[in-house]
Amino acid sequence: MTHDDASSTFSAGRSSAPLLTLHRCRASHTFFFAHKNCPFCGANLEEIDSQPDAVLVSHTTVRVSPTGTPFKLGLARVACGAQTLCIVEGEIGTVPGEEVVIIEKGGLYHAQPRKPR
Amino acid sequence: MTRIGRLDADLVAIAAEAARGVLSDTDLTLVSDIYIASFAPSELCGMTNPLRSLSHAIQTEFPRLRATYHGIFKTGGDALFTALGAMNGASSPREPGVVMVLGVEKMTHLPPAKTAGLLSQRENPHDRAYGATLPALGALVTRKYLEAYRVPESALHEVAVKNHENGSKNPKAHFQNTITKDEVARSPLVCDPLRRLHCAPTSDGGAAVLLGTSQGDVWYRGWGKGTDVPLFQEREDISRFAATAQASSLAREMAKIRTGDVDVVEIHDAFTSFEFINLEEMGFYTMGSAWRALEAGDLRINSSLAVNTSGGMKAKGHPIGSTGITASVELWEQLTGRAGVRQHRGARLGMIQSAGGVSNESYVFVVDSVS
Repeated sequence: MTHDDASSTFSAGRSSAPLLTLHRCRASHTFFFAHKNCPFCGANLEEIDSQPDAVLVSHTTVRVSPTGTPFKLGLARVACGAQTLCIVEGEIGTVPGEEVVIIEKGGLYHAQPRKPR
Repeated sequence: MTRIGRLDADLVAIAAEAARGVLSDTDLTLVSDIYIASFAPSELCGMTNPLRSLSHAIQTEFPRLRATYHGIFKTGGDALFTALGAMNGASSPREPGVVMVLGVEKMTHLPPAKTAGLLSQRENPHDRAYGATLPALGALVTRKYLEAYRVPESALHEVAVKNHENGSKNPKAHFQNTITKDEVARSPLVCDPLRRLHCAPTSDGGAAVLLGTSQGDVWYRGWGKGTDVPLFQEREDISRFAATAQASSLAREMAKIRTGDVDVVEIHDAFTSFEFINLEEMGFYTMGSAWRALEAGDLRINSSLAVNTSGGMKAKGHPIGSTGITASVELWEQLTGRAGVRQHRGARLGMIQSAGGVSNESYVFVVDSVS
């Protein structure tokens, strides 16, 4: 099943990155995380595909981390409302709302700017 | 309550000192239950059975105690909430007499990065996989909050300045120095927009309170607990703390009070933005407006609402398992007129808000002066 409602949100149309697999209950609560049941209503979840286009809800550069290596962490939201933590790649502005593309790498989601700076 | 800060004593000795502070003048035969909180005694201090070790420390100090020990609770707020519930007849199998609630933490003996790494083991594995430490998640909340409500970053500095001012009047605070907005603004970024002087330190310390069913100096008039969705990323709005709103509503309803009745509040300010968000979620201000109250001179000692008179976690310090209990001690001092130079004039009704994680769960207590 293709969940296709990301297309109208983004200014420059869809990216060519692979679709994301999300999880949705019949009440349309949608998640990146593969819960056994919906944490809000308890219903079964089905897998859906989503466009990888997202906006950064918030982000930070983690300068003090256990590994000692700074990295950028973000929270991204796709058009259907599902959100995920993500490693942010590339240059981004300081104001939330930047358009990004979500890509899965090594079991983690990464966000890349849609418009290179 | 012990001094908060970088202490030479180990976890067991800090717990014993905190217990001495309240049990030395108490009829030990009346103490029926002891609730102990410590967030990460296994990770930070290598204790394989912290309840046994800490109860042994207390029992060694007071061998005549015949109390039942409960725990280990993660936070002081958690332990206090559970103890009050038990005393209220919800779950205690026997009639409680005097109950001691003790919180303790030892954190400063390890390098900060190692402490952060060990503490992250207590966080959600999903968040940990992304390297999402508490300051990192706090920064995501803060950036979204500043943007959503158009709160200037300088307002975060002002909270730090105010809480250090209060901490400078607290002889038990970790930091007893005043700071300027300029110093806060120039302090190094930890996770932008959070700077070092926006963040509570890691601290050592312990505190204990006694609760009884007979009349004491203050009265826990209401309490409530709230929880948010388990995964941070699934919060509908990360600039809101639903757990605090829920806990506060329950506590106010139980106590039958309005926010306008409250004189003094000890509130979770692990990051200075959290002081604003928690105040707003508790209903003292509309969302995004607490900073204007601070700018207008409120939230200070002897204003209409005094917030974090102890210095808060920011300046008093943040020995995690003990923080909720240190807040309780502060309100006891405020409501009984024992707070010395940081006494808030006419303090009669107070609230405590204590949280775990990034407000994953929140505890709120309403404390009234008996007089």
